[in-house]
Amino acid sequence: MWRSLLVRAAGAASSAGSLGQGSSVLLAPITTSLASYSSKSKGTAVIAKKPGATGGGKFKDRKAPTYAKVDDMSASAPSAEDMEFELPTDPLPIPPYDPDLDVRSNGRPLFCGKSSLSELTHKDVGSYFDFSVEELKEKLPEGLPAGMIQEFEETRRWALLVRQSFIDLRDNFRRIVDPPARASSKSSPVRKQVVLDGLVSCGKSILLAMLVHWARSEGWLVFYVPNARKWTRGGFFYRNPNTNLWDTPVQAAQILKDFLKFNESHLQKLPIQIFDPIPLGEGAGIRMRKDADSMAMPEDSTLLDLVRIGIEEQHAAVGVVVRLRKELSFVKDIPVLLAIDQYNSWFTFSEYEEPVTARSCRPIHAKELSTVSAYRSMMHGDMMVGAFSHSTAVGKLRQELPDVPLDARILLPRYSLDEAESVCHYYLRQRLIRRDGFSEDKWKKIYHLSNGNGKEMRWLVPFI
Amino acid sequence: MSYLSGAKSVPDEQVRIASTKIEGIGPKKAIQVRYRLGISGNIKMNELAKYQIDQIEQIIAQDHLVHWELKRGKREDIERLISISRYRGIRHQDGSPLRGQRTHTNARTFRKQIRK
Repeated sequence: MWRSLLVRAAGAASSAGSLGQGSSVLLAPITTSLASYSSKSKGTAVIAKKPGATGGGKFKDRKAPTYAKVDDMSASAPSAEDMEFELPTDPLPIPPYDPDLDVRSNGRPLFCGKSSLSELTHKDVGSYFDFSVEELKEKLPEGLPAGMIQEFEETRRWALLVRQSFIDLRDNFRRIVDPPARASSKSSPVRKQVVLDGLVSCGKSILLAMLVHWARSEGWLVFYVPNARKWTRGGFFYRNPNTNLWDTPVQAAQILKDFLKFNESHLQKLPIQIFDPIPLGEGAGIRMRKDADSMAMPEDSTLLDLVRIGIEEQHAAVGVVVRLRKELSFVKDIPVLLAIDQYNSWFTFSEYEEPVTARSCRPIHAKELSTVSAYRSMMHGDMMVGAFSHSTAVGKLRQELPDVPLDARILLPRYSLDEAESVCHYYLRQRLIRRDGFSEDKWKKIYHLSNGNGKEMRWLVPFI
Repeated sequence: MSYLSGAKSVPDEQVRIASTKIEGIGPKKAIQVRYRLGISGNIKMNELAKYQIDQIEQIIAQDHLVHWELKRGKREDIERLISISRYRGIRHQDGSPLRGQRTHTNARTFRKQIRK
């Protein structure tokens, strides 16, 4: 991020020409807006913590650089063009329409101008969709993928490329919920369970996040897990003697809290369908209860009551998470979608181990954990999307995964030439590329150098 | 400041680090003890309940030699070698190395020990 800011500053300085008293580059913390997204404090310029698991280890410890505040700036007066670029307002205010910059090479618009993801059509493929910050915070309170945050940071605009894969996936689930009156022979078969696979940095997590955003806008009940790897490490783990699986009460409580963040209003209206008592286990740092081994649910309870019991009563957290999975499959009033990012981390070993002898331990597989075993399987009739992640060091998994339908895997491609063109024009618009140095040959060179890898393209474009 | 089986530990120190401060417990044994109680690697000392700390101390006391018991065991082994007049016992008495090292030069570290 340092490098991109310095390059942009150099570009601004060279385009502005020499200034009388020396240009003091006014840079403000880019992560101010993201800090207000990620931290719970309001209105303070706090350095945001980037999620480390998704985004790769090298971004784990990076701290946002601090810059001079607006009030501390010197009395030099840069030109109007520089003010637009250098003003410490993050993200950049959406500039007025510029016919030279807001179009792609053949005159097609760079921004689709639509207000919601539901309105996007095939004609909008290759254009950018502007998100509202408040809506993103509201629709994705569990957190954004690291790749998305990085894109927003580098471009200083809350916009993402509309890709054909997103339109196809969205229409697929739309057809499940609202099937057309006449089934066209040309339309591809509908899939209820999808596994998003593909090369590194091809957009799997971003696609999943956009799908969740769209589904929540439509009023669906979405169980979104942005970081499935966290279910298999950290906290305490105890073997449940009844199920012979391993309970993780700390993770279970966190899962329920995250689920409650957006879905509280939906859960209030949904009554429970299973009235069996909830089994109690060992709590985090609390011994098992001696007086009871299960907890009864009142008959008029809703799903909100169920989730709240799991949060308040530590012994019941794991039981509630497992019960919630069963309850979600009985919900028929509103569409239910399970969206799991880093899904491949559930097909390998967890961080936990079980001592076998005095000197050796046996690693515990993720499927032996109660929470993972309840949500991992795709052999059901519910809508579920799992996105693989290359940031988790899982390694190569076999083609036929257990509990996953054979036709569920979709290989997402990297950027095509058309998409790369839109991306480079967008970066030009957002001043990641200098206007005088931009040409078709150069952006094509960047595309071929990076082989369509979005992250690498963003890293290379300042060198145009 | 808290104590874990006689060893000082900082409250925000991870359990796997604090356990190795105990004389006689290294990284491997610390992992064994943790996994028997279901404590993962990122748990800190101030997140443990009283009964969990007691459980850790109990397991360490039952299954491992620590502190003065470890030292006593080492001392007894050396005294046994001395008492039966083994070569290694004599070398312990003389303060010389006993694992085949050269003494014409070097061997300063081992000779330092007897002077203490």
